[in-house]
Amino acid sequence: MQPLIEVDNLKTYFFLNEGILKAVDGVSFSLKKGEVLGIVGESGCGKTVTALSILRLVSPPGQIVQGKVLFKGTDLITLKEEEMRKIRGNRIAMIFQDPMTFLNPSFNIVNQVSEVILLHQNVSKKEAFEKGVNLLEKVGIPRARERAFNYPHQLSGGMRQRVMIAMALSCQPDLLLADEPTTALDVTIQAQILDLIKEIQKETHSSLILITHNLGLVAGVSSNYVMVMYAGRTVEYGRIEQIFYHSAHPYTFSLLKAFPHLDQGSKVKFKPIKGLPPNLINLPEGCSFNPRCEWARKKCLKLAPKLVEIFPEHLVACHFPLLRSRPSSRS
Amino acid sequence: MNKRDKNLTISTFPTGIFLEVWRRYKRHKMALVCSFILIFLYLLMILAPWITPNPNQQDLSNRYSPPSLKHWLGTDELGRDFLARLIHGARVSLTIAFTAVLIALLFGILVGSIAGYYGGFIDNFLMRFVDIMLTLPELPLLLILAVLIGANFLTISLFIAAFSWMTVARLVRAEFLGLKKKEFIEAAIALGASSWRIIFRHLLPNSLAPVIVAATLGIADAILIESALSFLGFGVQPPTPSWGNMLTNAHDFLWRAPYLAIFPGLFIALTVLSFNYVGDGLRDALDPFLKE
Amino acid sequence: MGFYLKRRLLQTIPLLLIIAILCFILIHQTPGGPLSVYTFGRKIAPRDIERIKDSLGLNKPLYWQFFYWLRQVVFYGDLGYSYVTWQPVSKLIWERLPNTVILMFSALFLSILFAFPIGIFSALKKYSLFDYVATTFSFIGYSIPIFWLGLMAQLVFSVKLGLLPSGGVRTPGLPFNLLDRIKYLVLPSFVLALTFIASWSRYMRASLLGKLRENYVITARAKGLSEVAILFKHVLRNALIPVVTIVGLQLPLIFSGAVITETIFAWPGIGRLLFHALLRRDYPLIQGILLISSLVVILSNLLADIAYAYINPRIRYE
Repeated sequence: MQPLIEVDNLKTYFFLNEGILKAVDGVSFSLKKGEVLGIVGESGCGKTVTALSILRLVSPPGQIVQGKVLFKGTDLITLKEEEMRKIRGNRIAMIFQDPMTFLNPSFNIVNQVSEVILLHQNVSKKEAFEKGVNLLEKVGIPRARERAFNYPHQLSGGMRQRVMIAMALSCQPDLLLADEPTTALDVTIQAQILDLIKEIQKETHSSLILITHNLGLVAGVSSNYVMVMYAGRTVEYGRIEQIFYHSAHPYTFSLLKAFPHLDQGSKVKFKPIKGLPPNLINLPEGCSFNPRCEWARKKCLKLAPKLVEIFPEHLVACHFPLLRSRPSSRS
Repeated sequence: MNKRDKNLTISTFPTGIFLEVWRRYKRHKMALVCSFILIFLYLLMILAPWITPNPNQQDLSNRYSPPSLKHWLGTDELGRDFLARLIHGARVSLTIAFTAVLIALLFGILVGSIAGYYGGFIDNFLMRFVDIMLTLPELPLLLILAVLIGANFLTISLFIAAFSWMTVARLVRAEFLGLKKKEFIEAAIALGASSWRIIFRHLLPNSLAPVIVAATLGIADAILIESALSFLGFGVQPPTPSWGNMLTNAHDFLWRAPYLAIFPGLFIALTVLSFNYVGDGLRDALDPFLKE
Repeated sequence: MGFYLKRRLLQTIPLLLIIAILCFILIHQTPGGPLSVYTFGRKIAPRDIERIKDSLGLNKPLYWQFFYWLRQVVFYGDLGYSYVTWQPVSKLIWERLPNTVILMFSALFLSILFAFPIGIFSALKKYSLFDYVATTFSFIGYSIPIFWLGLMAQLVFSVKLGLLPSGGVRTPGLPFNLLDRIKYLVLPSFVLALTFIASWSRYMRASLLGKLRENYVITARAKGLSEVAILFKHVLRNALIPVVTIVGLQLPLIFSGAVITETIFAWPGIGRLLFHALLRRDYPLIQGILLISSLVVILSNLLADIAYAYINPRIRYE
């Protein structure tokens, strides 16, 4: 089956006074219809910029300097702006992190949902309104017909995120980009929203790219693939079970360890990653992760590792991948 | 050097706040030019008694004479040297403006500090008062005050100050409210420092940046208001020259000697413009110390 | 919104009271006090003065006098009589008020008409030649004293070019003619508007630039909206909220400016009336004008509040 989206060596740089910030520096992946990809990493590692680059929503001083984004075979990077606009919100939709600031405070919610429908579908205002109300109902807003006229500030965080999801769903997109969709919400609400996204993804059979710093969430939406990013680059990519049970990059390994497992009780010590995420303008020489890596050797300080396939569908960018739990050693 | 240290050296501690502010200020070319204009004007004002003829010396045989070598900007309706009057007028106008802003600053800081520090009912009350003051029609009230109480240097300054302290009060209050949430202030309060100490040692110095900018822009406004008052004949009284009252009879000049109507206004506009640009430059230069 | 407006209306009551007290004090502070209406320039026997005092209630306590005066103002519109012309103050003001309102609203209209598009365009073409020129223009605009601008406008357009009349509201002796009225309105309203064009265009630019950085702009782009649609539908509405606040706050300034403009352009409004009243120390007239002009300012502030509430759903649906 031909992949729905294929990102090839994508590079998005920000040209600042202080220097060039390489937010995304050569990221590649592909995703088939109905599949789910989780992009994981600390804040500032380029996850969000990757998603924005797919939609070509990076604004100056940011710029896509290289790469291809093939969506159903067409390269989005070289597409005309008007053509691109027909894809945004229609074929590819995005759910943003903070529903308060990403919703317009001056418009009622049904207006913000039906706006997308009016834009991309040939329907009357009345039909668009009806569709908007139906969508609000579908994403679980109680008494949707009355609440449709509410403004964002009158809703709770969870309800706002539901509006955001309704907006993204309105044209049944082929690809959903969800950027930390639960981070700004209460813990109790997080699970509900996650379930909603999962349910909708199953139902519409669309593909989903979930961006998060939380590996638990990646498992929560039953991702097929996981991509771990660090300092603008892919450090590890693989099927979810490969990442969870056979993580090969020291960074992925530390991320898993920094994540408290309730089921394992107190047996495994919760261990935060030492050090801070790197300064993207002034990256360390060699492997970007070397200042924080326990296993860093001389080679890691000199030479940046390339992404290599160590097992089928499992790629790692590390000179010395951790292969302890594998039955066989490096091939 | 280890590569790990390289990342740490980026955030060096700022040394020499004034040097940093000056470095940023210099980038604002208009502000720089305007500061020189103001310095030049200031020198003129100080040296006025020695470099200009007596501004009140009448010469009725030589009225409305056009600009010449003897009288660079000509003479007015009483044959007085116009440039001399303009420069002496600057002394009057600027002194009043500075005094007014100083008074407004003191009062504004006082009200803003009290409101911001104590909060609650006092804050509510004072801010309501500020709101009311901002709603009043300023110029009519100034005119009425000038007529009722009389206009001289001090009263004019006081009147202008009475209608311009509100901005400073609001700024100081906003800064205080923001700062009060900061850890170092909370620490000082927890350690039992007295209110005065907290206000003067901690809160005020940290709220100065916006106040400095507001004061500079306030001078510009004060000059404009004083000139309007004097122009209408209720401010500085002739024969003392002020930039405003030199235009009181301008309707007559318009036909005979238009330049007499042009120059005082140009002086006002240039000075006010300079203060506005300097204020803008300071705003940019003090940016790291300003909120937003 | 009802609640918000009710609160706003209630808030104007103390303001009105303060202004009323100010006005009352004003007449009592004048040399000779309220009696000077009768004693002004005349010699009256002390016995007669006592008699007048009694009949006017001036021997009653001050608060009684205040409420009596307030009652006269509120219920009968009685603002006393002018020292100079002996006409009722209310009549003098009523004749002039429409002219002032016309001038203020023309200036307000012109200010918005020019300031908003200039500000919007400056923000969209940030750091362009247009933006640079507009910035410089606005700095100069609010540095020029309004009375001098008026004089220069007269010098250029009336004295030198002879295009527009230098003062008045209409050509004397001519029947009502809209074009004629507009000809007389052009100079004063433009002169009055310039300061506000200068400052409001800056506010508009700053506000718009701020809102363009908001996250919901990204959402709007992600929906597939065009930049023009985003600007006019999503951004402008939000950007207007703070600008309308500032416009409302600066309405008293327009009134202050009108006083000067009316004086220069011989515009028979209450500003010019005040100027002459001040020159002649006509205290009852001054008092009446202060009261009415405060009312005008408060009313226009209320209008601004309504506009503000209308465009801000956070207030409309509180």
